Amino acid sequence: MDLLSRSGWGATAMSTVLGRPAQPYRQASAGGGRPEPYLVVSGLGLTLPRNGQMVPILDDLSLHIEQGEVLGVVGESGSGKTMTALSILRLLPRGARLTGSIRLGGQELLDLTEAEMHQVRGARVGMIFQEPVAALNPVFTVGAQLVAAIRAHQDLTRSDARARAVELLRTVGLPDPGRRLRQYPHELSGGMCQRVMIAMAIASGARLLIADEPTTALDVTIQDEIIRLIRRLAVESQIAVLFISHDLGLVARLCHRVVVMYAGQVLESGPASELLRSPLHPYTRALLRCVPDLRTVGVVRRGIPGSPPLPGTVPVGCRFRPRCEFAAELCAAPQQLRPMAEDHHVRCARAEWLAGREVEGR
Amino acid sequence: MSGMVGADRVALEGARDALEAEAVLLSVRELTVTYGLGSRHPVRAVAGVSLDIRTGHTLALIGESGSGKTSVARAICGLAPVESGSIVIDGVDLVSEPDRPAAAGEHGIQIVFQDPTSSLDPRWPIWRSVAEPLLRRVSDPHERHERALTLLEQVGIDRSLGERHPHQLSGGQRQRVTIARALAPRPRLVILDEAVSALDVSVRNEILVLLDQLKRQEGLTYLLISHDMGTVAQLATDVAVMYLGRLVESGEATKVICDPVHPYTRALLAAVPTVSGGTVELSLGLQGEIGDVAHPPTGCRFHPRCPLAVERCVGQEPDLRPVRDRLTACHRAEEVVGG
Repeated sequence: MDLLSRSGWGATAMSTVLGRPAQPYRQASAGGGRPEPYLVVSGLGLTLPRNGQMVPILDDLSLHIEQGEVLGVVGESGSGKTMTALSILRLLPRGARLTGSIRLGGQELLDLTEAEMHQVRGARVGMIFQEPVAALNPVFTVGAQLVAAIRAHQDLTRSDARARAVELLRTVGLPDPGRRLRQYPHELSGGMCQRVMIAMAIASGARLLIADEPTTALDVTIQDEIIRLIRRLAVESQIAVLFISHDLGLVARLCHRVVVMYAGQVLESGPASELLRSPLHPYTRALLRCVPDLRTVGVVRRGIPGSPPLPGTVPVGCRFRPRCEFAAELCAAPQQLRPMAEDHHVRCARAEWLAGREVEGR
Repeated sequence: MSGMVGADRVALEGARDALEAEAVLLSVRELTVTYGLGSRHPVRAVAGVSLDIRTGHTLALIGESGSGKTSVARAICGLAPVESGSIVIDGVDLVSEPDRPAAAGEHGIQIVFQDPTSSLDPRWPIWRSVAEPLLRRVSDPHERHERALTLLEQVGIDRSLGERHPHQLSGGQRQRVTIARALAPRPRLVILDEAVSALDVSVRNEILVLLDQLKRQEGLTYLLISHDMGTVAQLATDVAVMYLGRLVESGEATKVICDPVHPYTRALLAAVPTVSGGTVELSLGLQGEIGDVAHPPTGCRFHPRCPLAVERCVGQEPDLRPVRDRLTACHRAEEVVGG
């Protein structure tokens, strides 16, 4: 397992305190016989110890992903996107406390022991990161690392594993796979390394792929190839994908559904086309304003003044209120995520009022 | 350009003249940047690039990693080895100056890099970093301190934060500090080398608003190096597209971005995710990756990835020539425009 330690699997969480809600998630039965989505996170809360105090990081977080579906999670740095991913994998710092429910393929992950969780990671959930070159071990060939990833969860001989590695590299669209297996990570471009990471992530037949800003370090042309690959894997291999990004434009291009996060909460969620066409939350609108529009050249768009609150300093009431241009008195009360349309939820008291207003800059 | 026939050259000069209707601040001619010159494996990162930066404009250099855009910017600052060509400002060729970085500074050229954390001294309070370029200009230490605080205010950092150290600021604030430092010697040309690329989208746009304001207030000219087309579309007035060390298209931003001619520019812009752009299946992909600049392909350097490549593109390198209000280097440009 030494080969794999750099890809993060070695950094296992220890002594995470887990708490379960009295009421388990009931969407499966509420849907009238509709099968439960492959991943269902409901009411997830995460607190981390910092300077001797427990600091809330995630609050009442719910999301779900069907097989073959790509869910985009967007938000600024510090909104809790990566912590959501790490919570699903239960790869959290010592002393972390998780409450709520994470169900993967009908199984409650928060009930699993650490040893059982170890089997889930890699075998059922794969993960790729922002820096593909850094995630690979520079002193082993691509082939050695990929074969190790395959054999970690499957009982295959070395030569069978190698044949499977060639097949995987072909699946992820890497030309000349036989030669690539003999090469070292530094001999490959960033785009190629990310393809190798994707191959490793799905090597053991993972049904959920978590992609944390996988294209941020890549050129737009290569980014386009990678998201094309992710979309193809999702649809053709029926993999559920959790795609983390700060770029709403990228999410619009790739994802079926979108969750907008801010300060550890979901502020809006819904189908990508609807959420982007008629955003309900002022934060979503502000993020949309930051997305490039190549039809208008020479117009500098405003960003979002201020910065997101640090963990432990979130305001009472609506967490976006200090930066919101539409903030009113009723925003001082804590906000609930509520349905506005079929599968379109928003956490904003003024959503109805805002819905009647034109989206600026669109 | 040496292989051009007379008529083409006249047409090219004509197009250049049209662009030069406004004053040119800095003019780059036939610039070749070669790393490891004299070694066994020299790498020619920029191969004969000519471009003009117009006073008060923002010229964006775009292209993938390995296109040579950063090498052009660094050559202008005197930070990259120039094999041949000229970089002229105020009638002075910066390439022939003995101390090239100092000469660039004296002629009002400043640069802002991508990573503000590594470009600020972690042990210094931020005002001191901003005041450093003033050491030779302002002798009175109190006045230097005061000037630094005023500059910080100008970039939206309260003067009460002047005593803070870089680690006490956010990434966006740190980049504001490096912008204040670049402004300290009262530059005319500021090179923004991926200056906002590392920032969060919301913060990035706040910095863009600041840069736009400063440009108007101070009468600045920008050379913008960016792989982020959103930044380019918002700030640029002119755009030059590079591929493997060569210029493939250049012209006014509205023309190049809204109506690109060169197949590479088209592919590059088509890959930019926009909210209105539809989902990924609908977009046209570009085959393969940018090649190795040490071993560029024959003919048009883009031909191995070009969907329109024909035999001529393999054998003959296209010259930069005027096509529909801009310059482009593509044998089939007329067909692209016509179709």
